[in-house]
Amino acid sequence: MRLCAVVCALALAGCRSDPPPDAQTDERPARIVDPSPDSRAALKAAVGAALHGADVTLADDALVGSSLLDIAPKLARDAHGNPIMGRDLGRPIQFELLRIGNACVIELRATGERWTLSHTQCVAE
Amino acid sequence: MTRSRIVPLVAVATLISACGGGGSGGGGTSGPAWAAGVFQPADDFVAQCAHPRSGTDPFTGDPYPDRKGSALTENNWLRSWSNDLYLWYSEIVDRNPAQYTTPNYFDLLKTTATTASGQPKDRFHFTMATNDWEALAQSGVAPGYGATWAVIASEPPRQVVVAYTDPNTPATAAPVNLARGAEVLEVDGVDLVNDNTQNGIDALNEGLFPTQTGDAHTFTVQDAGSNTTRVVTMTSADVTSTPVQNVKTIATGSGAVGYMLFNDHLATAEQELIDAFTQLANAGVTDLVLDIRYNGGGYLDIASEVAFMIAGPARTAGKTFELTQFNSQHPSIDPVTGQTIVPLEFHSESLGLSAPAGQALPTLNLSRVYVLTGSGTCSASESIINSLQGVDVDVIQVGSTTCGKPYGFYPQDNCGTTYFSIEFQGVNQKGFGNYPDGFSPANTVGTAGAAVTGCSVADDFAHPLGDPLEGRLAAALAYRQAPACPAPTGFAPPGRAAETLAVPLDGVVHKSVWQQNRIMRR
Repeated sequence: MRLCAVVCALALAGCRSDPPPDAQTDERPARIVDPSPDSRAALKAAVGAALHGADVTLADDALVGSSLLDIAPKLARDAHGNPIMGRDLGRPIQFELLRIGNACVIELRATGERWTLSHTQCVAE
Repeated sequence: MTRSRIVPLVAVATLISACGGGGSGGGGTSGPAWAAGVFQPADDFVAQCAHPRSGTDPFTGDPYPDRKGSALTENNWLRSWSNDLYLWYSEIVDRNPAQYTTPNYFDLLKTTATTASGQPKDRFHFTMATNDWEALAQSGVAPGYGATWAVIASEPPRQVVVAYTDPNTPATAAPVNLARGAEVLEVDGVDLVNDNTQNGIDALNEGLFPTQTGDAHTFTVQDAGSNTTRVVTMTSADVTSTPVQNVKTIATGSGAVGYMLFNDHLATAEQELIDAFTQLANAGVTDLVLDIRYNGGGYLDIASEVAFMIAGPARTAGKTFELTQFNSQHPSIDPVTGQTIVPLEFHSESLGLSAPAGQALPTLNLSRVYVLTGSGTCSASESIINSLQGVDVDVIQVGSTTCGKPYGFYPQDNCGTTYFSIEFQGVNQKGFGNYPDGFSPANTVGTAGAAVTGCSVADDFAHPLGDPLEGRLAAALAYRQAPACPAPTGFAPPGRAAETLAVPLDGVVHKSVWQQNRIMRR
């Protein structure tokens, strides 16, 4: 529900993002190569911007092994170590990294909105 | 002497509570007079807060809906909301909301009935600060070392061992090289086995269960099978769990047997599961041992995919994986989403959680499956067992009684506290979902959960997971050859029999400590 709340709110609000690159340019799913502190910061900032400024915990190798990035609530567990949401009917928030021309762009898949990543190198999958 | 118990760890005890927490104090006097059995709509009281939040909700980008109210209006909202949505709403004793603090009132808004084993029927009644609940992270990423600890003995002499590790983490990097069965003897020089001081316990908590990255701690460990100890230093990091591990084929005289360790129903598991089942299908396995002893659940869609990949289309087409049932006031419409309730199918195609959407899933087309279970096998993992039984796949359970959580909820915020109150139960194709005491292998000693064919076998930390000599896997392989069990040693039911039957414990396995109570306390 709350993931839906985020996605639906984004869909309605139409967050600001960089202008999409030339629509004629080939775009393909991609992975980050040679991640650096600057590229990690750029990714974190872009994801945060997509999610109303949320401080999202990301792995250092986010989008290195896959073009998909799933964001979910931190896995809250009960006193027995089991996830509170052990029967979760929802879905994660999902981003996809695209290589468009020479740019690395993440797309919030629920809305299609895009953010260009600075200081980031990526290769098509 | 004060006995120190190893229970969930650390300084996040305030973040989640099974007994209230958050909310407002004092029942207050403003609001409608209480009349037993008379309920106004919850919307009449929603977001009327003793301490309204101001500004923008960072999760939605919208202004907080809060306005000035009182503890009584918050209690009135809880009362009406519970009466509408709580699965066992008719078992709530209706009490005057003006006489309780909000946390205390929420605690009372549940059934007091017990299960056949004597456990409370509702063991899953929680609250959490909404700010904490709404914190986000990349799927499977949490601060830690990449070693999952099993707390076997919670009081001195304590025993903590490595249950499993995740690859490419501080725990598995040289020269640390931790592996299953390694026993932790000291943390930062504190005697884990015997120290009974608060300072010592605090140090153990901080070392074993870091809540942030960059914390370096030393551990004296004794590896499984070793007579010597060694000291390793690990620095906490945001580690990425690998939910599917140890995928392998075990050759036997009667065909190849597949094995996989499946630890979490994370989104990232989808692609790993597809890869694992593809590997085993290509290997031509004729049986599968699915190791879910440490799998506490997660996305139900992942469980549906797993069940399909085990059973195949012929057994599952048009069948229900799980049907969500709400209380009797909501027989056909999901009261939270407003959608018509329809059965969740066995997914035959990927959903795009981490694999490309719409791809046909591989399948082993099995008529039976062996599942290795423990007390940490919970929720969506139990759904795998229940759904397969619903379509007449023979499930053979080896291990301990599962946790017993056929329930779920939609978290609900009000006034800065998120409430978790059981709202629905999952049932299988045959309409069965009554396993509040878990599933138990048929030869389990003592009061048990719903009986499943198989063997009660304790966890075996002396062998790696996936090793044919590991106790549970060995018992499954032996049962496959001849349907007989070793003397029962498993743990059942959770929280009771182990203390009276003197059987070995599974240990309580603790993963990420985000929003979890303390592991150790006095």
